[in-house]
Amino acid sequence: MSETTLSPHLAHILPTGTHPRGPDSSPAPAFGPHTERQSSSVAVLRATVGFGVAGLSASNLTSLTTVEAGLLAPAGALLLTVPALLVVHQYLGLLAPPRELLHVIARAFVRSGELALATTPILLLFSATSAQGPPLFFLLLFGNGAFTLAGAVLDLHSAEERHSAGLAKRAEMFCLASAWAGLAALIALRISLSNVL
Amino acid sequence: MSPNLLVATLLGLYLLVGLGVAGRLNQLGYPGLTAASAMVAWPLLWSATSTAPSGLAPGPHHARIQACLEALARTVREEPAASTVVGPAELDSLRRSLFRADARIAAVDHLLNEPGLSDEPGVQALRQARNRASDQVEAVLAGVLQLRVQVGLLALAGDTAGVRARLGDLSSRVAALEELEAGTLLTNARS
Amino acid sequence: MDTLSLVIATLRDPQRLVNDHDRPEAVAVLAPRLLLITSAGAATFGAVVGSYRGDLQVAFVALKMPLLLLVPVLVTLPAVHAAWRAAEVDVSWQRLALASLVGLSRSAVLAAAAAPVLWLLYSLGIDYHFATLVMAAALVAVGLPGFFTLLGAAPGGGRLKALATMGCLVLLGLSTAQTGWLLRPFLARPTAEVTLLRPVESDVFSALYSTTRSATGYYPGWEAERSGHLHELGL
Repeated sequence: MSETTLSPHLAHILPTGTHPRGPDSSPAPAFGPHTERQSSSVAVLRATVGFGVAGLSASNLTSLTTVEAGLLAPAGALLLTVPALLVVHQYLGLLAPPRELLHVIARAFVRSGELALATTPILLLFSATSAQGPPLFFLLLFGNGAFTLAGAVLDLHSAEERHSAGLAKRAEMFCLASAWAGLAALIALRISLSNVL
Repeated sequence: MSPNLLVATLLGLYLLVGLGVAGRLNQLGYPGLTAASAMVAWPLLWSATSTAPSGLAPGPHHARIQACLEALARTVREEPAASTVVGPAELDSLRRSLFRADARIAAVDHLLNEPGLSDEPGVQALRQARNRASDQVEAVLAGVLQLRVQVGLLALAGDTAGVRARLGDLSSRVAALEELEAGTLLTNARS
Repeated sequence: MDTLSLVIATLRDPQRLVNDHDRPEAVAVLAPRLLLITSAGAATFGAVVGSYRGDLQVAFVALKMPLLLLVPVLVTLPAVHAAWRAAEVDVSWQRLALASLVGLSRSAVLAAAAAPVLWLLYSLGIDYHFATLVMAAALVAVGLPGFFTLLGAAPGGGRLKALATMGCLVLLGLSTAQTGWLLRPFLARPTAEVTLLRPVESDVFSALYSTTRSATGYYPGWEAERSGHLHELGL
């Protein structure tokens, strides 16, 4: 608290000059609405690093197969399928703004990367004490991807719901999002397998 | 890197971080046992490394503050949309401000109850300042209740504007609370 | 709150304990006692498990059992936090940590309570494989209440929360299994030497696979040749 700003009703009873501080003398943090602290690009970069770190912790530091799979599979699947999603979305005359769809997909990627990073301790446990690090990594990558894509389908549907009143349009969006998720999953699987084999 | 070497390295790193966390907790003033626990289970104590123990004595409003804040936390938890407006940082800040203000009132009450102090000059002004501080705490607690009502409305109407407005109002009341520094009230009593 | 009241609180109303102490300084103050309760309960259970073999095995397993409870939680908790965040369930790390500590204490106290039953069964001289199954079943039975305490820390709402939770349970199971494999032996076969730890070899999945095949009577690499008088007589 600034030592020069005091409320009027205290001024006449309080001495002027420096006020002694209590033990908890750090200023109170700003108290206001909860806001997003990171920019989107930093969050996406952090998610990418998360995939790479997870791949590295599964590799026992002896090969880069899992690192390459971790980096290429999710990013490659999204880069290849998202443009097609947006094109078909517009072709069908659906109403959600493309920017909002991109925001949903970016958020899903970020969440997935955070989840991949969070599995690092488990992967380290297995890779340091057994040969099951890489198989577990691919299992977790698959589970992570399936979970994230399922969430993305629901969020894409919600995004369309906010802009479309008609049931038909919403159903179309759900089908489109599900097809997109299936395609992304297959492409991610193909990229992972081509890396391993 | 051989598996045994990797295991040893990881264990060593874990213990090293544990040592650092234990040192930090010790520096913040936590009991020795807490710091010792950090050597073994530092991930579970990570959140304490940024917060010193308050060491605040409970004041006359302690139980009510506790109950109000628990009810607010429960309400926010039950309405996921509210957590985007009222996050853990806001709840923590509110909690710290209220308990700090309550502890200051407790310190002044303790002073005012000292025998022979009633004849001292400035005691009446101190008593009035104490009562104003107590009123401020009551006003913030009433604001917390209103915030809960707004969160309930958010659940039905889906509009966060009411919650944000109520939060801004609470912010002003808390700022008024923060103006009453511990030292200022005590300095007035001892001068 | 004294230690006995803390033990009673973890058993009767763990959620209230979590809700009442959901602040960084409260977690830091409670943590040593919760860890102590966990260690004491797990050590008691471990001592009974070790009594199957006797001698030094009692002390060894009493020492290792708290780690079997604690290490999987430490390793899995970041994934639990991230999975729930991905499921739009906003729960703070400190709340999760506190719920883990309370859940661990709960499981450990229940394990200590189950120890006399285990001791009775072991004192009857049951078969090694059956004793292993009993120990595993007991750990699952006392572990689930602890897991539900962790589950209760998360608020309602979110989406795909059930799927995220199932995934977390699987990860916890995998971590517990591998940690158990690393810290073996617990029961120790009657003919094996008593030792604190065995060399790290293979992994728990390979071991389970081999044990399953052995249990079905298939012993690869060992061909039994019939011999003896009965064989000569064509019987």
